[in-house]
Formats: sequence, structure tokens, C-alpha cells
Amino acid sequence: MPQIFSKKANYLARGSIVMTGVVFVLIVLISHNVTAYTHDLGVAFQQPAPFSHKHHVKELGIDCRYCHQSVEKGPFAGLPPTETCYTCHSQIWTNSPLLKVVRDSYTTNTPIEWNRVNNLPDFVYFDHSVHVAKGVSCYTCHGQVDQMNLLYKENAFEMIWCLRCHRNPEAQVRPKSEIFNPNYDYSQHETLGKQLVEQYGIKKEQLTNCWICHR
Amino acid sequence: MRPGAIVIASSLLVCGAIIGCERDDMWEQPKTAVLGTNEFFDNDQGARMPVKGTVARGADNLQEDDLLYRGMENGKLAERFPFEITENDLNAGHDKYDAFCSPCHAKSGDGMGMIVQRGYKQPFSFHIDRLRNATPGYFYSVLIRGLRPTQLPGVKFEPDDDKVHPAVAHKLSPVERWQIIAYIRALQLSQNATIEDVPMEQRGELDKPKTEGSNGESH
Repeated sequence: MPQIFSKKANYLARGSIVMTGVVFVLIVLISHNVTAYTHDLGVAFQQPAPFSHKHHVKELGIDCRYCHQSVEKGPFAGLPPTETCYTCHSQIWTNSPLLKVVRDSYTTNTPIEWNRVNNLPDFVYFDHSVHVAKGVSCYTCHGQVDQMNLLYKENAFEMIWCLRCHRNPEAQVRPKSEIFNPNYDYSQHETLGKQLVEQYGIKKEQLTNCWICHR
Repeated sequence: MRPGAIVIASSLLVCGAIIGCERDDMWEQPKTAVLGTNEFFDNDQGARMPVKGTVARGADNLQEDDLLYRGMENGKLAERFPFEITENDLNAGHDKYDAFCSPCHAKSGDGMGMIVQRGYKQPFSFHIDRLRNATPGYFYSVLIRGLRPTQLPGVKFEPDDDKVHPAVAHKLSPVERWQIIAYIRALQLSQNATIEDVPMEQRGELDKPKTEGSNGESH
């Protein structure tokens, strides 16, 4: 009987041992959720001024929209112009060294260069206004910003993460009045979620279409 | 090179390609992100300021409707709203008032909001006679132009009134401003109401305790 395997099969055999190792390592990496590490989740971002969302949102009770005005009106939530900081800081903490960046920006008419925390890939089309209009709260995606002294990324915004809600919006949509509420209670949400999806006219069957986000 | 080495090298290559994916083609497209940088311009600022001497199309001060956009009518502060105020307008006004005004003016309108408690000059209460009688156009004017007492010669101020109101036009659309003013009117009524103002059939409801789940903060 002639040999079934040629001599080259030895290399195939050795190669497959190596590849098995590679696949094993990949599986370990994926199952151990490298997302948090690769996306810097939970790491406070370096910013020109140490702005505390916790202080402004939780302790002072300022609404998200006071600074992020276009969140209901357009794709981008908006960063406040220095003028907005100056509404209060023209009278409060006017000499604080922490606010020197703000004063310099205001007096020299140059914008403050904040570092972007969440940067979606350019092939994803995301619109804040439609999410807010359909009952998705800021806190659903951005995490408990009201607890963050320095802002960090709570979620990695990977596609699988977006899909969790696009497949099952009932679990997340809130009534209109609760969208900017950091302490919304989801405990009685089971029937309400279904009702709200109906009420908002959310077309669930469309939400997972490719072109919803990739246009 | 031995074929075995080739297999090992190529599998390492595949491995490296998977882990070290370069993401600079479709991930970072050559377009300017909102408020992002653009090296084409001197200061790398992607969002451009209007060219000197130009006015943006559709800017408020290009609009002809004096009443809606400037709160003026026949050269005077308007004495009426530019559109009929519905319940929806009041609810929208309530929402916007709580977001944009209540930090200083407080949810009740008495001017003791959180920012005032932290040191900002206390604004006038909405429930003083002068503001109860003020026209909608007056409120609109303060919203879009801001307030320094010396700038409003027609209005009588007490000598020690050094109040300051920043212009907040850039935060709110004209309709939103009017909705807020309508809600301020409702607040003024609410703080100056007698039992006579409550419809007879609803008077019984006043004494009822608040039901579970309806907290006063939300609406």
C-alpha cells in the first residue's frame, strides 16, 4: 500500500499544532474580555480643566442639556461654548486656578480643547436626537456620569453592545420625563418597556438592519 | 528556508495581523468630525467662525417677524405671545425651565436656586409685582439680550438692584423661549393663587396626599 500522506504532511501537522496554539490564545483573549483594556474603560481622561460631572450634575442638579444643548436637536450632543461656563463662573470661583483655562479661553476668544472621550469609527452614523426622542437616556450609554468626578468611558460602544439594545429596546427605553434622570428605577419596567416601544413607534424589525447605522 | 519555518512564520504573520489591525482607513476618514480638528486651517480648528462682516443664513436678526424673534411689536416690548399657548407648550416650557432656568431661579421661581445658594447674585423673584405685571416681551428681551438694569431705561429699579442676567439666546430656539415665558406665567399664577382659582370639582384633590410614585421633581 502506498503512503497516503506525502512527506509534506509533516509540515502541515507541525503547522496545525502552532495554529491550534494561536486559536487557543485568541479564545482566551476574547473570553477574558479584553474590551475594557483596549478601550480604556474606567480610565479618567486627561482634560485641560478637571471638570467634575459629579459636582455639576449630582451636587448642583444641573440638567445635561444645560451644556449639551443639541442633544435633542441634532446628531451631536454638543460641547458648551466657554460662554456657558461663564454664565456661572463669571461670579462663582472667579479666581480659582482650576478655572484659569476657562478664563483664558474667554478673554482670548479661543476654544478650550477638550479631549474626546467617545470616538465612534467614521463608518458609524450615530444621531443623539433620535435616541433621546425615542426614550434612550444619556445614562444608558454613557454610564452613571453623575457619579464621575473625572469623566471616563463606561461602555466601549462596540457593535455587539449597540445591538443588545437594538435587538431588545424594551429593556432600555424610558418615558420622556425620565430621560435626563440619573436615578431612574427600572424595577417596574417589564410591561412599561413594551408599552413605550409601541408608543414611540419604534420599528423593532428595522433596528438591526445594516443601514440603520452604516449608511 | 525550510518549509516548516515558512509555516511557522506565516502563522505568526496571520496572528500579528489579527491582533495589530491597523484602523486608519475607514475608521478615520478624511472628514472633519464635529468640533474636531482640521489641519487645513491655521489654528487646526475644524468648526469655523463666521467670516467677519457676514451673517449666517436664517439668523434670528435676519427674520422679519419682530414679535416671534425679538419680542417686539410696534417698536415696544410685546404685550402678547406670538402664538396661542397650548398645554403642550406649557409642558415643554416646564421641561426647558427646569433644565435652563431653575439652577438660578429655582423650580418655584423665587430666585433661590442651587447656583444662587453657591454664591451667584440672587435674581428677582418672579413673584414680585413688577414682574407679575411685566409683559411677555420684557421676559423675552431679558432672555435674548440679557439684563443690566442700566440698559433698560423704561423699567424702574430699586437703587440697590445690581442684578445681572446673561443672554441665553444661544441656548434656546425662539419657540422654546416663548414656551418658557408661558411657563413662568403659570408659575406666577401658581404662587399667587387663591382657593377661588381652583375649579370647584377639583378642590377636593388638594388635600389628598401625594400618591406613591408621583414625585414632585418629575413632570
